[in-house]
Amino acid sequence: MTARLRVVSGLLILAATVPFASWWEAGLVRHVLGHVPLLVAAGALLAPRGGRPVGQPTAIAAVLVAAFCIAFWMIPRWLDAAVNSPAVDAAKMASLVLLAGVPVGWAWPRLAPLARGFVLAQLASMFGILGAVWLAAPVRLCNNYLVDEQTVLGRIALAVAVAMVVAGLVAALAGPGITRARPAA
Amino acid sequence: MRSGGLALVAAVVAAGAGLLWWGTEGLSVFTAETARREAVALAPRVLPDITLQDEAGATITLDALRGKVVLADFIYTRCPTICTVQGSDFEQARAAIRAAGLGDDIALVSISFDPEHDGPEELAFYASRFGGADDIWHFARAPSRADTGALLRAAEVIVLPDGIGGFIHNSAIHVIDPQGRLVRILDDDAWREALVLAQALADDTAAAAPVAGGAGT
Repeated sequence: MTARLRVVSGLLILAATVPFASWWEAGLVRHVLGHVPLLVAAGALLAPRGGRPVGQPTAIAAVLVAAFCIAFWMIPRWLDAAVNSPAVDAAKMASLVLLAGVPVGWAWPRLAPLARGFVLAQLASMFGILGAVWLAAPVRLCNNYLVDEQTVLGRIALAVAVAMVVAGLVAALAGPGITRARPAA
Repeated sequence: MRSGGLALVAAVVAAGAGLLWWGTEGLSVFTAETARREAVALAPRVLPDITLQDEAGATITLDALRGKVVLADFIYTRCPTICTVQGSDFEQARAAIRAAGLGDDIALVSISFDPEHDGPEELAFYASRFGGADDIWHFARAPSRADTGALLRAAEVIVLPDGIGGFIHNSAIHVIDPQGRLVRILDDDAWREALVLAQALADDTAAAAPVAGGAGT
């Protein structure tokens, strides 16, 4: 993807998500699996590329910043608070773009394949865990959303987890083997 | 460089863990409902003194009930499910209040959040399903949508259409002390616990009254 295409698509996603936040937040599923990932994606697309190389720990630290930021907004009370309060919602959108999307977009090309694989495996298991929690929760987790939506979200999250695991398996089977990955000499 | 990078990772983990700790008040508050209950218990809040209308069409205010402990719940009269259970819980609570002779100390108020549909007539019919209104248990609505909204916002009650003509809301028993402050929010089936608390609050007030009215300090 060219740099210009990345910037344009990042800005387009921002234009589709930020002004229409209330539509995205009207349903639990589109809030969690639409609004949040799109804001992160926008930040990732707009992240600066190139620049001087950095050590693995720095790239990993950037991914961890993103992970904590996303984890925070997955706490039901803060998801609820974002719906109830425009100030909290602004903080949500700004932080998901700047503290989750940008660090991921900046760090991803710098991450070693092992670290990338770890992040993806972790993401898949998080979808699985959250899906199970949403399905199993005996009460409504958000005062702004119905329990039915929680069930739908849980099912979709589980499906995403399974799809990610299958895709990872396929990639592992189809991709270069360990013998080929090592330099011959 | 390498140790600097590891220190950075450690700093991010510490800051991130701190953020999640703060955001859940020490891994104890994960939902807005728990947050609302904790907030009220830590810092009681005065509810707006809006004008309510009871099942007889008479005006009633929360201020007018000061001096009593009020156990309030939010309802809508068409509710087929939880309000019915809550109604019979309050019916038992009323019987317990009367049996204990606490009618001057504790009041029950069921407030409708659906003023467009629930007028005095609907409230009276709803009341009749649970033995009717009396001097202990009042059924009321805030006639204006704005007043209803103000009350719901102050109590952090969120009402959602359930998609089949009814509503879903975070139902609970709201304990209002004799000074008119919302001091505790309990599970909607915890009427026994609510009564114990109400009696303790009423006793506190009774015990405090002679001091306040005495020599003065």
